[in-house]
Amino acid sequence: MQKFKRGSGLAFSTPTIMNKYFLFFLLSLATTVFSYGQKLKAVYEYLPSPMATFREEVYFQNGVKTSVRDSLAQPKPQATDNANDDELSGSMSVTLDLGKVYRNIIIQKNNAAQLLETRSFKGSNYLVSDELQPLVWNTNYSDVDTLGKHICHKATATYRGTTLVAYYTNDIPVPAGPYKFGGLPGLIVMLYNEGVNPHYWLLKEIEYPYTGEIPVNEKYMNALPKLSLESYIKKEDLENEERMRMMMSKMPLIEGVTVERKKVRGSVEQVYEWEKN
Amino acid sequence: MLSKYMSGKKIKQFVGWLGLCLLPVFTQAQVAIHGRVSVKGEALAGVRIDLRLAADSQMQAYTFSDTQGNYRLQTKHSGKFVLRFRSLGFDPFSLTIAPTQADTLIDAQMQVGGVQRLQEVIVHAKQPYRKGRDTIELAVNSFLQGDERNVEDLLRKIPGINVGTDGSIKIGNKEVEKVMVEGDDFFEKGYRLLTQNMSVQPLEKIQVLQRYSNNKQLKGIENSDKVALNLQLKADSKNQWLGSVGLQGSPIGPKYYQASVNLMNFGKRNKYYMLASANNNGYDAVSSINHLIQSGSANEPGQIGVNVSTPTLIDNTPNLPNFDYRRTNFNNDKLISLNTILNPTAAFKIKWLGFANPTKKSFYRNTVQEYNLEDIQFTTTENYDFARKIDNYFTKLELQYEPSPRTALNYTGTLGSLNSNEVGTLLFNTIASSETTKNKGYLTNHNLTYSYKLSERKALVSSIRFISQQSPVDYSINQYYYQDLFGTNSVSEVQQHIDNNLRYLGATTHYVSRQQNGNFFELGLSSTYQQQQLNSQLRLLPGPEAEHKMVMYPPEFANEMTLRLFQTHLISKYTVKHRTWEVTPRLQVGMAYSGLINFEEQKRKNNLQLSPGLSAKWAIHHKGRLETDLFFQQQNATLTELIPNYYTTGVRNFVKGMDDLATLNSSGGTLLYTYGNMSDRFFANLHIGHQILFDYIGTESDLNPNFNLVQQRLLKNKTLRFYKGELNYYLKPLKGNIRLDVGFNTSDYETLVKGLGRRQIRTNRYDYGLSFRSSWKSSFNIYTGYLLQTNSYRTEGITNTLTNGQAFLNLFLRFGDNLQMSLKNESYRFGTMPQQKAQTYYFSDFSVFYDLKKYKTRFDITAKNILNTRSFRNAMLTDISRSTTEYRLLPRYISFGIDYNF
Repeated sequence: MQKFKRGSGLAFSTPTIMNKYFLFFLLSLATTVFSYGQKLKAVYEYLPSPMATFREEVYFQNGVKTSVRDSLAQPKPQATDNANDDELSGSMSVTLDLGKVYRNIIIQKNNAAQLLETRSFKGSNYLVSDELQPLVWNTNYSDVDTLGKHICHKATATYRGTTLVAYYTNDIPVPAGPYKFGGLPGLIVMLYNEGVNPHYWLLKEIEYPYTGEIPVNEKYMNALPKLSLESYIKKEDLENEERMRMMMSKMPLIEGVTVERKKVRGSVEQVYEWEKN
Repeated sequence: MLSKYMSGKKIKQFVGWLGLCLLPVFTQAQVAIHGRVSVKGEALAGVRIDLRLAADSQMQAYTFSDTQGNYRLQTKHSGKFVLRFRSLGFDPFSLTIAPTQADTLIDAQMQVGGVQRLQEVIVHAKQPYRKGRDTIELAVNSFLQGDERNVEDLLRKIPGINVGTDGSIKIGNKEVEKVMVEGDDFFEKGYRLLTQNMSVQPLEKIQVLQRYSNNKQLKGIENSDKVALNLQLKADSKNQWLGSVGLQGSPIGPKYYQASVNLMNFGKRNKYYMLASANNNGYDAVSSINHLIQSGSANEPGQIGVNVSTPTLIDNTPNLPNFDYRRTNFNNDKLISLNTILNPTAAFKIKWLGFANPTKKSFYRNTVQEYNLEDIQFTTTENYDFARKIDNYFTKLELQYEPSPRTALNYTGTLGSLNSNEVGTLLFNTIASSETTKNKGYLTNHNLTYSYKLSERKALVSSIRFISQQSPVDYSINQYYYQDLFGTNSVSEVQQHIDNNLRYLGATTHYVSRQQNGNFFELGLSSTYQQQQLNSQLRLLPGPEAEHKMVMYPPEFANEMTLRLFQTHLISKYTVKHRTWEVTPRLQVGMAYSGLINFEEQKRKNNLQLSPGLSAKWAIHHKGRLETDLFFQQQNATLTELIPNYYTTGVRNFVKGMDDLATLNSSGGTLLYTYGNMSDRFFANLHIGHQILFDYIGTESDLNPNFNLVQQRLLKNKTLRFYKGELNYYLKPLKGNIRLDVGFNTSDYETLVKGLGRRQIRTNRYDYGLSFRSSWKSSFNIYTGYLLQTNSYRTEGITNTLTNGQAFLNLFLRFGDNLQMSLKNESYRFGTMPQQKAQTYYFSDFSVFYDLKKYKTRFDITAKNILNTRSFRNAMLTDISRSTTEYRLLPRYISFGIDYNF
């Protein structure tokens, strides 16, 4: 059954006689609203590369989205042909070892100007605030694909230097999706970014109403050292750049020239707002 | 279900306010629909409201009700719409509306119902947007912004592709192996020629091929970490001519030039590439098409006879390791090459290559060789002035047929005519002479490979190869230095003709299988028949004072040999993989039937050959890796080791083999420990190895001032050991890598000298290197280092030691992407020899590039050998002699160049 929570004793059954003063009053009391209360849980499979799969759980309730991504890749199913991924890497391969990795938690509230996420850096966990502008989706596509039993529609959006391609379903009218993505007419069933290293998110499970708790301790999150996304990314870039320089300084010399390259991020994000010139 | 319609007059004020709050943009042409969603009179948030055209149910706008239940939608269209309200847990409902006013208020009351429960597991049958596991296909249109001049500009815009300032393309950290057009490739690593010249107009898709295999049938089975790009063209794309012209010349001083023209045309079906180049600045023009000439990789399973050829018996080319060959190469190279790839049908491909390379080379070499072995003490001098004329013609035809995606048939046939004519003016032990060496080679090589993919993880690759090669040499010298060898007859000229022929037929079939857990199994069977013929004859032509005008043929200096070798081998290899280690035992078992005929004399030998081995890798901890290889090997002696009688390899040396069909046994092991990787601050390698040659081919020398008779002999037990360490440390305050190299090589063996008998030799070589390479963010960078090498030979308690050093300082300066400068400084120091003081040679080269990308033009200025060092004396030590060789070098010159792409 549905359950409705009542705000602090205020009920307005005749919305047609609202006037501006009343509305002003209503807005100033943002806590005094009703919620429709039910939690939706969606589980995504996140594939940053063909070699690794991460589980990402997304909870959506009252316009608040919480996404929790595991820090460890899932064990590989035997059936997939991942046989030779486990090459004992040679000296030329680069694996950045940045210490302990914590799970990535994202909390995105409808009315908040910024979303909060936890990010690990060199073995420490940080609470990072991201002033991400809402994605502007282009839903003007006729492409339809059936994923699972859902008829899905294509939409695209520009996101931090790459193009996102999402397939959403109208059947589940929830503007949620994996990671920091959402705002479509329906739940995102599949999403990837266009490029050489596409990251894939595939919807695996849906549960509604979800009665369990959201496995996130906000107290713990709030106790973490705080950083803005910009300063976090700059910190991370600095570390990566140093690693790149360490590698460049060990590379064999190419006749006569030094080669400079633009950085390529391994993440979905390629160019951040503050990096545009 | 209930809905309330209201015209907006009454609450215009309110709407104005709301509009201000929610969507400040409000234009006259638009229709706004807004209202409030509630359930049982209470505001309901999170309801999706979408507006669709009634005609085609095309979605015009959508929104979700806010925490107050309010929503607002806008559309530019007018007419009939369907307004739908939908939320989980509530009955969806829709209204057909035809709003006429700019502001339409529609409130909605929802009722509990609809979808109450969702419990679903979604199975994605496919990953639809990845074409296979290792192929990523990108539509070019998604990345075009309209300002791309060439493919490179487009690639720069694709997230994840990294194009360096030099045009090199990386995906992640790996440089791409090649950039193909419709699966065809001309350039391999030289793909810049294509990516920097080809326009984006004909492109439709770009495919990124990860774990690329040259043989499609081995994809996924073979171990590969290669990446390649494939450009796919639009069906209606027109053939496009593109290319580049480069010119470089020195207007002042000595005249040096380099010129090249590249012209290419890529269509969907047919591709053409033409290259013409010429230079006299020391550059070996053929090296620019080496990758086109070589076919097939020797490391791929199922290949046979890849490196089979006739041995080179006389070679005067300077051999200076670690020294830029262009400094000693006085040349005049010309090269013209034509290449084409035709695809008459999707399953059939024809590739053709042809080139001609008329070239002149000259070099100057003065050698002083000193022998100081007990009673044998003398010094020889050779002052050489070579002029070589080369005429090489080469053609290669490749046919590929893929009747089904699982099978491929590949034929490669080559035909070559390799001619050279060399005249050497010689001052040997102060007596002048003239030496000529003529090579008239002919080569044909045919290979047919059949690949069959049995399943995703199993494949069969079979090859058959036929080679026929003739490399005759005519040698003559117009001076007679060999009185002590052949008597004091009057001889005007010494001549030697060599017939050096090879016929080879080999067939192999390999079965390769990769299991799910990564274990890899390979089984191969091969049979080869090789017939090599070597006829040589030394002729002494009578001089004017000769008593008998008769040509002399010293019988000890003539060969008429045929070596037949029939071998059958079974090769097996099995890799067992675990998360942190892998072990590969391997075994090669074979039967060899050899037959050697010299004149009438025949020898035969049938023997079993056994070569087991084991290699292993182990990740001891997350930073450290250990790799090892152990082997025992049985090999047959090769042709040059079996030549029964003497032949000459130049003015002073007469060589013969050991005339014994020996089987050479050896065994050894290596151990490599690696700590960290390239991107770590500390990165180190330690490598040690030990090898015992139970049988080895040593030499017995008969040393004379005017000639050496070198006889190869089968000796026992030679040991070789090496210890090598490389340590890298990234110094943070200096922002650069400091590298220390330490190496020690030692060997113990015997050598024989006529008159002195067997001599035990111990050689030691110590290598030290220290270098620093900066990785500064600034436009300036340096790379500098010093290398020191000490060689010593100890025999009979006497040690000869030579210490040579080398230093370099390279400076790089870069202003933006357009202007780059580099200054390369080198010094070579050769240690003290009994008759020569230590000497140091300095070299300095400067170059500057300016790239005018807008006009596809690059300018450069190059200054070579700024210090104008005209000669270079290299010091060397061997187990019987000390020698110094002086080479003449190309003088200082400055050249100005321009490269234009079209």
